[in-house]
Amino acid sequence: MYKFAHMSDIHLGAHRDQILQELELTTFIKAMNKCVEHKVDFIIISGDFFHIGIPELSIVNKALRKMVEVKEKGIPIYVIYGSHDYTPTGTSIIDLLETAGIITNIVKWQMKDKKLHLSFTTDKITGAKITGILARKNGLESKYYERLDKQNLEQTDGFKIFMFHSGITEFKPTYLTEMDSIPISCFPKGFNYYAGGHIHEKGKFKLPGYKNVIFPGTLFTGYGRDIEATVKGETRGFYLVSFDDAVKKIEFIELKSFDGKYFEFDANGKNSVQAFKDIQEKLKTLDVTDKVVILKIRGELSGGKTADINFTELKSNLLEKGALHVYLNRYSLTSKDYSSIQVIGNDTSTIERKMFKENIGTIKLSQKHLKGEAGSKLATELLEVLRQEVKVGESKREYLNKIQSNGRLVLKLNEIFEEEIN
Amino acid sequence: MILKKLILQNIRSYRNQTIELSLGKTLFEGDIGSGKSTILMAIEFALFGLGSEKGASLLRTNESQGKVSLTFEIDGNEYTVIRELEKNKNKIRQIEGTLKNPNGVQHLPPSELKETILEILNFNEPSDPKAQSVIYRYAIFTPQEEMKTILFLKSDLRLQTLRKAFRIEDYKVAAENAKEITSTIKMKAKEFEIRSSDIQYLQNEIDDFTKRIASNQEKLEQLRKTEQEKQTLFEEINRKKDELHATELKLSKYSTEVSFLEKTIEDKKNDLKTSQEEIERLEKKRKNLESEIKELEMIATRTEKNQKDLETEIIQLEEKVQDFRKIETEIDTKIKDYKILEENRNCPTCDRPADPKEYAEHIRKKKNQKEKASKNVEECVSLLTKTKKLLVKRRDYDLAQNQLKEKLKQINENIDEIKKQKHSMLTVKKQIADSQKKLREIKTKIQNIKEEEKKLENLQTEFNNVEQELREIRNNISSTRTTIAGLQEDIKKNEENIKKKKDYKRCAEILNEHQIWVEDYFVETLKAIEKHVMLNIHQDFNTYFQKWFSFLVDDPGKEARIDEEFTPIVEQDGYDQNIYYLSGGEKTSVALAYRLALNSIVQKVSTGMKSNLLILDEPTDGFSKHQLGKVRDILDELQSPQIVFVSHDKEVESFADQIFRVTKTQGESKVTRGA
Repeated sequence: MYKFAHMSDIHLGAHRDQILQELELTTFIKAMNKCVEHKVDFIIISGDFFHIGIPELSIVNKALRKMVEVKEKGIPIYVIYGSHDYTPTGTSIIDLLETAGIITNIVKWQMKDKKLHLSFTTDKITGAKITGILARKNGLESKYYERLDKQNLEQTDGFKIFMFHSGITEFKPTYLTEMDSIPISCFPKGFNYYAGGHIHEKGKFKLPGYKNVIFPGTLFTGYGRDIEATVKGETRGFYLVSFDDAVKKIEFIELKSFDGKYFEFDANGKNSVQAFKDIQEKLKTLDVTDKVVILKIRGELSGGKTADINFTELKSNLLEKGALHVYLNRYSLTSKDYSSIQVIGNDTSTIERKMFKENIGTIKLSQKHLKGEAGSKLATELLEVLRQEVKVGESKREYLNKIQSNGRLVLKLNEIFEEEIN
Repeated sequence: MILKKLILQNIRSYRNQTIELSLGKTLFEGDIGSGKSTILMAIEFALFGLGSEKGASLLRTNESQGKVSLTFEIDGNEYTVIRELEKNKNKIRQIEGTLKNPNGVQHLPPSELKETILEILNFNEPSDPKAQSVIYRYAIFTPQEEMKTILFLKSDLRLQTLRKAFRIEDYKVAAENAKEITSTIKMKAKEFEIRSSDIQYLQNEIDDFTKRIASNQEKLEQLRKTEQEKQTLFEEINRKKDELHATELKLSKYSTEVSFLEKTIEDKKNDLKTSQEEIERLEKKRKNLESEIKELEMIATRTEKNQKDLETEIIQLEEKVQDFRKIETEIDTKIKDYKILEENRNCPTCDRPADPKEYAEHIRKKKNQKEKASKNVEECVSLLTKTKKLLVKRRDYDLAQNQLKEKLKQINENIDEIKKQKHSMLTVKKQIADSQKKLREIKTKIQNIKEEEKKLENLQTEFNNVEQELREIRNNISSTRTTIAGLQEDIKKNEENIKKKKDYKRCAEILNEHQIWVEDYFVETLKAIEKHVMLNIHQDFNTYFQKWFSFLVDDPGKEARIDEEFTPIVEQDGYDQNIYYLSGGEKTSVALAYRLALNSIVQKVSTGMKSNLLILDEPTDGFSKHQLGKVRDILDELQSPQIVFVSHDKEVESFADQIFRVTKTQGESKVTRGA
């Protein structure tokens, strides 16, 4: 019986934050150790090994050390390009590692008769035949599937693994319904194991002709949403697959990278100040020590700006309290003050004119020139006078005198101001 | 504004360089440090002066004079601005500049030159000679080193800067100035209000005066009424007094009359008493007489015999008695003899025995005889007594008859007298009764009068009181009239005062209305305008920012937006991405997207801003080839008639319509038109 480990979406280098970087790397190292521990015959990584094509070298260096260890134990690592591994320049870290003999990119193809012909990489020890399709950004790999020569692949015998880094239309999680995906029919049938990547949620699927369509999900977490899922209980890790001429056992090896705390605040109906205060109060009682915190603030504020909630302060308070890292999600936070306003003009002067006109009715006064059309015109005139800034060389006193005098002139108050009080 | 020609003399690494610019996209391409950015600095210097820069940073080393001349066109009018730097004893300063405009040439000090340029460009901002033009920096040109600065500025600082650039600050300035104006309006209104604040007090005073007048008039009325009443009372009392005085006279008269009547009554009473006594005496006398008469009448005339007869009868009877008494004595002697013979039984005279029985018979006979004889005696004696009595009585009778006659006469006289007396008494009684009645009447009158007299005393007191009261009332009436007149005078004064104060109040009201108008309408609307303008700008800005960001950043999972304070937010699946942690290319993308959005907005909001020029300083730093391709699209999209950009990246050459190559040889930069 042979064993292989299937992992994907490691996204090494995704995090710039030092602590997360550390956790991310530690998780990868743990995963490698687990593989050694379980005496796997090989490891497959279904794309997005690194977060970007050319990641920070210090991270690569640390990861490489571990991979060398694994390699020295005779465990080969088979990879494909994920959407993040791709670089427009054409050379990514994957290529460098392959060149260095640390990993093997199993995607080998050639175009012939407008068909994409894939060839297998055979694991020397187990004889498992591995092939797959790389991924491009924005689901550009779909054209590879369209042109894929499936027949040849299907006809090949032996224990076959198909590695891919795409969503499958039939198995897409609901939150990814909008994501580009490949229909399962584009995949060659009859493989023993379909080693998927790209989907950050683990999943085991099958359909006639396609048994063992497996997504291990992200090993650590790439994005905020992954962290949210992890914090909410989604287990992270990789699959350990036992096989001989067929898959015998698929086991999920869980790797807990951190403890998390999820905090969600519904700001609906609260003004920004109140919401900020409430959040601060609530966060005070939250035990966040050595935890990755998800701070999700949503809802429509009854007033104020979303920016009035000092997220930086909230985050730093949590970090001060010992949080490892704080993920902030304020995507669904809006303010009624902003969302409910229908802007009444395209340019400033139109807005000014219209607003003055619109609001003049709100005030009940007896002076004719302060009411109606005259009132709104007066407001526009007054604004022109009062918006003038201090001119160069003009003293504050001169400026204010000018403003007072012009203001009174516009408001037609000079006569009253000249009235002598006995 | 379209840049046409730039001349640099002794500016940084340039000795003498003329650059003719044309419409379209102009690229200054050259190695790092070749002098590309100097061209952009020189353009800014020509327009706005040194700003915060030092002259030394522009003047070529070891040169004492430097000059930049920029020719540009606005609305078909050509302007040339020339600024010069001069070194004097290691001090580099800007000297008088020149502005050639269609109307002629102006030589202006640097600050005025900047002001004039701002006016020409219609940049509405303070022409602080110590600062760069904010609008120019945002709308036209941002030095490369400042490109990303705006992303990492503190949000309040950024917002403040943007508010200025977007002219949002205008509303704050206007609101503050409005506050200044309302403050003086308030002060002036307060002055008027203070002056007119006692209107109500004065009015209250008037009301009070009016009330007091009314109450005084009422009092006056009451006093008059009281006076009237008291006067009537006074007169009444006076009349009563007169009456009482008359009564007093009557009293005196009545008193005399009473005395007289009392005397009369007394006399009459005495008379009456005398009469009564007389009557009583007479009555008594009459009664006696009557008794006497009765007694006299009782003396019966048992016989009709008169005294003589009776006296004869008596003599006869006395003789008869004597006779009978002789017989009787004789019998008695015989009886006595018979009784001795019977007791002795012989006859003394004949001595013969006698029989006693015979002699008892004889005695019995003799005793019968004697009894007869005694009876005769007795009868005769009785008759004699009777007759004697009768005679006495006759005599009495006759005397009585005489007396009776006399008495009767007297009685009759008495009776007459009594009658007379009684009559007299009746008269007296009547007189007494009359007198008493009269007396009573008079006494009653006197009593009444006395009571009236008492009343008079009271009346006098009352009179005095009323008189006093009347005096007081009259005094009171007089003082009340004075009070009323005084109050009316006060009311008049107050009314005049109120009229004046109402004018003040009107002024205060007008001022207050203006204050309300400015505070509640103008300033409040300014807030709303600010919000709307801000939101309008925000929406536009966000649209532009998102548009340019999505143009430049390939990751569909990444979204960019700005919050209400124009802080750029990059989100991945809804989670905030720290901009610091973005890749270099992403950072440049965010900065460029932000910068371009800013440019679009400032151009839009600075109504009448006469510039559609865009200058970009190394806009593609850190960009991948793919992103560079996007920049070309963006430059096309911007549709600016003139875009000047500098880059050390040869890849961007293909975007430009004209290329100037900047090279530096032996410390001197040269600009050559590229192919």
